[in-house]
Amino acid sequence: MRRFLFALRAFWRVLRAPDPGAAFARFELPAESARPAAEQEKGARRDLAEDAVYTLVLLQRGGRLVDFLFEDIAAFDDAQVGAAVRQIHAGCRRVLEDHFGILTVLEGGEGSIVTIPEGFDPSTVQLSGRISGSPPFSGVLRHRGWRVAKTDFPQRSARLDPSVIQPAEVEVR
Amino acid sequence: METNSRYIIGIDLGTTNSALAFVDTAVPVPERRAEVLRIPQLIAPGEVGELETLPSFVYLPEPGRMDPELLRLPWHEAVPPDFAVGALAREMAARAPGAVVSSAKSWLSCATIDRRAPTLPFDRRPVPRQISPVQASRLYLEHFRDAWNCLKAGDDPGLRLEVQQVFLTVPASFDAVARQLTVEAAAEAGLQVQLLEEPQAAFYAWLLEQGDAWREHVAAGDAILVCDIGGGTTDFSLVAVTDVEGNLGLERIAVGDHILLGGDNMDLALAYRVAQRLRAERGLALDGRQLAALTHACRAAKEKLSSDTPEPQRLTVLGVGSGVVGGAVTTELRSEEMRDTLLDGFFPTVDITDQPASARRIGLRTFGLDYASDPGVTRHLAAFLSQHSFRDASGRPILPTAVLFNGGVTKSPVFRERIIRVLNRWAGESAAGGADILRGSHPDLAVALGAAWYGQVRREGGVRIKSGSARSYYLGVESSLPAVPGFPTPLEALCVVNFGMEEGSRTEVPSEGLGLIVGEITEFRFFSSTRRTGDHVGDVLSAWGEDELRELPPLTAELPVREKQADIAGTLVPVRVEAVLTEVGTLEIWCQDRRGTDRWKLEFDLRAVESDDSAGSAPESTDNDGSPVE
Repeated sequence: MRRFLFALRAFWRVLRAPDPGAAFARFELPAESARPAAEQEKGARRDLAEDAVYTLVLLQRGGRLVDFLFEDIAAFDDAQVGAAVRQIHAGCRRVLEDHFGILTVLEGGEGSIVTIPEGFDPSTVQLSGRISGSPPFSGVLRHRGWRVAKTDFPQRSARLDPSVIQPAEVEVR
Repeated sequence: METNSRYIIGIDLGTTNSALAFVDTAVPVPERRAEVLRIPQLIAPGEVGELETLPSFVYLPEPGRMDPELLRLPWHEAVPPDFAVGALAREMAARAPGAVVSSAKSWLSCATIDRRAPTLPFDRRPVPRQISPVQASRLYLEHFRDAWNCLKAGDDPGLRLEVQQVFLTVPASFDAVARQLTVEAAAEAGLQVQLLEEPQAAFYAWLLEQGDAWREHVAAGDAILVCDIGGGTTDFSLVAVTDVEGNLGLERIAVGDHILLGGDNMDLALAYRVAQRLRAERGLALDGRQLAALTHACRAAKEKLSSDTPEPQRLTVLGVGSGVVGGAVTTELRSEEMRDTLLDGFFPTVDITDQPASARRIGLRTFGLDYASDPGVTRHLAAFLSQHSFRDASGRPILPTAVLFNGGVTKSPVFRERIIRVLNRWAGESAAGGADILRGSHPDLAVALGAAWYGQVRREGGVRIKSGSARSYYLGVESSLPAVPGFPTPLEALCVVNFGMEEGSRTEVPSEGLGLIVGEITEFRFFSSTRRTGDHVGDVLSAWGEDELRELPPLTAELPVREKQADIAGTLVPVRVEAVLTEVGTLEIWCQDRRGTDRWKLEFDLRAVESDDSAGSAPESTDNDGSPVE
């Protein structure tokens, strides 16, 4: 449980840091005595949960993602779905670019040969295949990986219900 | 005017988008640049994000309609506001018609309304809250002020925007009244500003980007057209490259009229065309929200346009309800629709002798903004180039040798190339190589960046554009000919400011026989011209070409009757007229008592509504309680 909360806090801080790489490097497992008060733990978890829901708000507002995922698309033909998806794709992608600045973990084309140096971070590069010996390793890049360069979220008022992804709308006549 | 403030600020108060840029003089001169301040603003109720531009919209929710807490910004400490400026306001335009002010800047130059009276949002139906065009401009400027003070000033009073040197841009086509109202709005926001013409600001941004290399792009004798096509307006200026004792100089030699025509018109034209086809082919009627989404899709298609034989583009308008796929409308934007509507509609290949179709003056015209009645940008360009009075030896208009493009529409190479092709066609076979394209890398932000950079050039030196008054101004004087019953007294126009008169200078107008009546309001009709560039101060015109002079609101002066002079009430005080172009960029007309030391300033009477071409009357002022401005 302690590890889980720590991971949550780490996630939270990295998410909020202007330079996530540096924030990550600074992070160390706190000593038992330095554990923050339960209050703070709760606050951080609530903020984190709200940020997670807010990501849905952004994807819904910018790309109608929740509408799309919860629509029964079985009845529509592929062309209809495809036409809508182009819009949803463009909108959601813009959200990811604007608010997360998505980058790849490794540069280079998938299928190319890359070298993983000594001291690599196993949470950023996952090795597969038969591994023997110690780094540097040489291998084929199967997936470049994704990471966020920033999290640039608007400030939200405490008056907003954080569970609402999109308010219902009624046009008054 | 703070001329040694740490920051030099440039503010582009645009028709649809505004921006603020700054130069930090704490940075050593060689590394100094202008940069844009990202502006915190509401992007949804209760959500504050930062954007490079501040959309020029004000949302005025009906009292009780919106929790004021959700309109709060970081700098609202005590009371939350009852309005919102920026992205949320723009977003609300489609959802809450009648509650959003847009295009306030165009209304600021609209002479048919009292621009200090609450008339916006302009709507034929009653709307709950209204503010004046001046107040709207003030709200945008206050937002910039508060954002700056929150982000950059902190606790240091010396860094507040109120005490920085601020250059505020206005269209080159703004006349003395619109300029004065802009300065008024800034003063109400606590800002002391100096005005700069937008095309010149765009030019300074280009000079900043080019550095010393700009001299390689132009030569003495060249004329550079600044072609600024924004969301709502099109602005032309002509800058001549001159030889000043062996060095290249720049001089702004002509500006165009105010043309309410821009990218928004193009998107709408395309969207209406597609909507009409959908109705005809499938019986589909789009609602307001879908039409807005279609317009948005058309804008994206326009921006992707890359050749004048465009590939058809797929357009999808997602369903309005939660059924995005089921409610989606998909159609194709056909090649010929884009070509006909955008290229041939807005950038037709015309002759230089072509004139824009002028507004038909029909009896009952809808009261509103004076939108350009001809959508042909190239036709307006032809009119601009053939109307200004700079001509070569054979009497032909001087055609530009290079074009500096600015504004969102000019991002598309297709429109740039079309304009160049039309210019080259006008130049004929004699043109060697045709006009060059000059282009900055920030067509949306160049005006703000260039305005801040202009301040840097003023302080630290660098090439400056010689300009001065873009118009000549005239007082209307009733001639002393005997009046003929049934005919108005013939009017003569006395030139009080010549074209090119420098800012920060004053002239005494030879004005024999002018007088003010003591104890009464004296009114002078007032005119301006962008075309009569050869008139001198003191010239009296008894006839002028149609459209050569534009009438502005009248100038009035009321001479107080002093107690000891009660007996001279009604008598005529002979006066001499003085015109002052202030450093700020506004025009003042003074009357000086020829027999004494008294001076009176003539003020624009903005309540006067010209009614010869608009049958409607000014909208009634509504109860102003809900106004956000005290």
